[in-house]
Amino acid sequence: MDTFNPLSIRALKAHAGTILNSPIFKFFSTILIVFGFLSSFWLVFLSNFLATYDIFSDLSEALAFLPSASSIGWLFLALSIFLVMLRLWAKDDCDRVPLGPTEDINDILSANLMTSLGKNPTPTSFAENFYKTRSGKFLSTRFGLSKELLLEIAKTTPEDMSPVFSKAREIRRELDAEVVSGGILAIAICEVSSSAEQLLHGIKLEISDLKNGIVWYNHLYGLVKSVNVKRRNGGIARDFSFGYIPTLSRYAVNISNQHLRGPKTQIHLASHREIVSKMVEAFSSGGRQNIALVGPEGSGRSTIIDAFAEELMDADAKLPASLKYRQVYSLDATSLISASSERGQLEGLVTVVMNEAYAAKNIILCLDNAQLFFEEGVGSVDISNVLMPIIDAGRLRIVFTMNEQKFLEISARNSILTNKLNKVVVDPANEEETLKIMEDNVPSLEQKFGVTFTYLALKEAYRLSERYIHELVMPGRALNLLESSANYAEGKFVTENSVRDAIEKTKGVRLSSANDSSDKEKLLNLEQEIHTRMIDQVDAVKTVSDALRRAAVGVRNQNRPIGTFLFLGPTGVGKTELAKSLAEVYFHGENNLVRLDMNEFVSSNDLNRLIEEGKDNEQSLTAQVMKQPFSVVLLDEIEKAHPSVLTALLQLLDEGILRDAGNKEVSFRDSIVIATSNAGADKIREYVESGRNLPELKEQLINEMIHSGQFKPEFLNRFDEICLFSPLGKAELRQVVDLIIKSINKTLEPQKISVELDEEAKDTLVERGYDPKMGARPMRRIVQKTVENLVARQVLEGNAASGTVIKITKDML
Amino acid sequence: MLVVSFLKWWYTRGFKDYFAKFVNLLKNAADFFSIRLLIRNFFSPFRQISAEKSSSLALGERLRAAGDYLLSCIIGAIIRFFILIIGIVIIFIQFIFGIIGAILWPLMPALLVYCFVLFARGVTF
Repeated sequence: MDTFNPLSIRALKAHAGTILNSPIFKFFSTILIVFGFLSSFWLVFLSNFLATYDIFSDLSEALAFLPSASSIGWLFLALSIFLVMLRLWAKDDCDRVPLGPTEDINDILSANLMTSLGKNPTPTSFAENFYKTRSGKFLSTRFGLSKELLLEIAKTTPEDMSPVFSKAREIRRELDAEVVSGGILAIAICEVSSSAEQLLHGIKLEISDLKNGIVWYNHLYGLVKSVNVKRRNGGIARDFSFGYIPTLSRYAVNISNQHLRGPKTQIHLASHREIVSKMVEAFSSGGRQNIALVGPEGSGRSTIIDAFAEELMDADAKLPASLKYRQVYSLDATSLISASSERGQLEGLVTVVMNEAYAAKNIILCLDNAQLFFEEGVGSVDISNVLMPIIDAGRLRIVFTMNEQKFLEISARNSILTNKLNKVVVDPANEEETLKIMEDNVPSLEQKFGVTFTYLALKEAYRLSERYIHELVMPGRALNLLESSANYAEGKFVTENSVRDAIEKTKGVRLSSANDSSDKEKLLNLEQEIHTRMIDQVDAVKTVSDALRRAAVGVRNQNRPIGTFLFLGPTGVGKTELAKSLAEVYFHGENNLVRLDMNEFVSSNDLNRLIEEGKDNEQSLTAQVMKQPFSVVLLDEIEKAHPSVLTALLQLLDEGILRDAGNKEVSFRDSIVIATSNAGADKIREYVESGRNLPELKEQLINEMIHSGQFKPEFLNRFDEICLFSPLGKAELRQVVDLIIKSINKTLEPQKISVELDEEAKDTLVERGYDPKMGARPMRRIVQKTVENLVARQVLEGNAASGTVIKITKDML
Repeated sequence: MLVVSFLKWWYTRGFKDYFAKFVNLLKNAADFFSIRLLIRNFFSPFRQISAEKSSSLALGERLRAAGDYLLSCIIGAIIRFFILIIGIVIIFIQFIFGIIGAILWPLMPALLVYCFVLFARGVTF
């Protein structure tokens, strides 16, 4: 049975360390040490010396209050020695009490935890104080693991500590942690409790998140310690054998110098570590003295170069002498170009810079975004004629960075050049690696912005950036969002909401969706909400509502759109109206409707227009959804679109992804995609007129559409639901009249005038507007025209003052 | 028990750590003064300041380049020599202090007791 022994040597040392390392003890002991040594020196040696030779008699008299020449000097000396020894012991042995020789809990508890456990600790007593331990405070601040939550699950007797200690030992082994800290003990309490998981879900956490927290804490603790370790970088005479570089210094940044202090750049990706080794190998061998790091923006090319530069400057690194203390300079294309007014001048300047770098003998040049040196354009200039001989000769070490697209473009233009480069592909990071990289970056961001990042903010930054930031890849995109979030901190904390605010405000993405209580209420009553705007189509509305309710509670594939629906039916029966209603009810406004008339995409060339980049066409489907992902995407008259367009939409419907012309992934996973079609309208009408039930027709209609070649089966199969809309009868049109009048009254509201129709007037309008083929559309035109004309006349004749209710009868129509 | 533990630490890990810190201090000083680099590159031209060397140059220019190179090496050697001397002196001082510390370290508990005994016996100078 595991029990805590508060009188174990480790526990006693921990308590002694708390006292001896306290600022008060340090302060007074320092005074005593200084006083002790000085006075003993005075008493034992100096006073005798002064007395013997009778010099400085005034000083001797002034210090006569000290018991000169007495034996007390030895006591002061003993005291000083004792305090010095105590301080050394406290600093080294008591602060982080070393582990004991066994796996017994008393041998592996952290010093910090032992001081807060008390005599007979219980899970409850620990929970009361857990935030006083360093790692407990960390979990409490960054994960929201509160004392109250722990108290709710913690048991109360000292015997209950035994299973907690056993679990803590297991967790320590699992996480490869040095000691059992307060954080680990808190997790152990959660793990032995049956209700903890549910409570943790309440704060959106899993036990595994807390374990990640411990790994994060231990890693940061290690980083903090490494800051205090002095790094050896070659010293004051390091560069004596290397040349001066006055011109290069003006047009380049010394990356090596930027990383001489502070913790070393961490590389969490094994593939990136391999690249650094590959760079060392390439530059120390006799082969081509260049490396082209090819990878998308944000993949960590700069971090690789930073780590490489640091490695070269590390005196303790095992490197060939030809690479030791070589410095990486990043050439600034913009300042080079701006310093040269003429073409020849630039080439001359580049030659001078290159010559200097070569003559200095310790320079590795980095051409970041190297395409700027190989293509003509704004802020770039093609100087490959200058660079080619240098690359060819291989006497100057150069690192190029660019993305794959640019590498291919340069390759197409100048394959000789790219053939001479040692291409190394830089892969983006996965989720686990990105989280670790973000965790590493948190301390510097916190120092920069004076905020504290919560763990959920990091996870949210990963999730949202993956979905909505397209110009970068991981980990750059997540870091970019995390940094922006610091400006939206809540108090001093950067939370999930800060991240959401940041993406909404900096990227123009609207994230609001159905997740608060009023929205849940709306979802429960979705049918009623929709029917306040549209008449009939009960089956279609129910089908859509059911699908959306399933989606809202997470019972859906997250890698697809929220819902995909194909609405089939005659014109004017409410297909578009249902889409608008959904935008209003589900996404809080009709503005969140991205509508495309697919009859504008009838040729294969039109596909490009559909997926054009936002900078070229902000009305393209991809551009609109990229900007406003929480939308209803309405693809009207889908049957008219070209088959190649329908093929392109397959991936959208299936995976919720569509690539735009710039090859960026645009996510439709927060959209409801609705395609409407009049295909089979006649069949539906005939079927309904013959008095049969519409749902029975669905399968037959789908088969007919496939056989007639209107739609391919793989296209129809991609929809969650295919909804048939029945034609509207006169009874339904009467209700439509009411809705139209309601909307007219809303328009007249500012004038404080309203309209009322008697039953006969409504019947007349229905008779006039009824067209079985056109549905409610002519109805709307006729009602609006007739009623609005009447109101206009009444107002002009002076019969409709403010507050008037205009009653319209059959005779007036 | 705590006293025993303290003494155990003093004569084992504490002493070992003292030596590790002492060696680290010397290494840092050697790095700060670039001792190894100064010795290895003692006769290298200072800051690569020398005229261009090329086989295509005329004999007179080649001789001048060689002279420049030699001068640069001499300047380098002089500067390096002085830094080397300063560095070695400082490292030597650190070494001496470190050795004194290393001698005193095991004697400290005894010294403490000794001072106390002197006090208790009322010994004066």
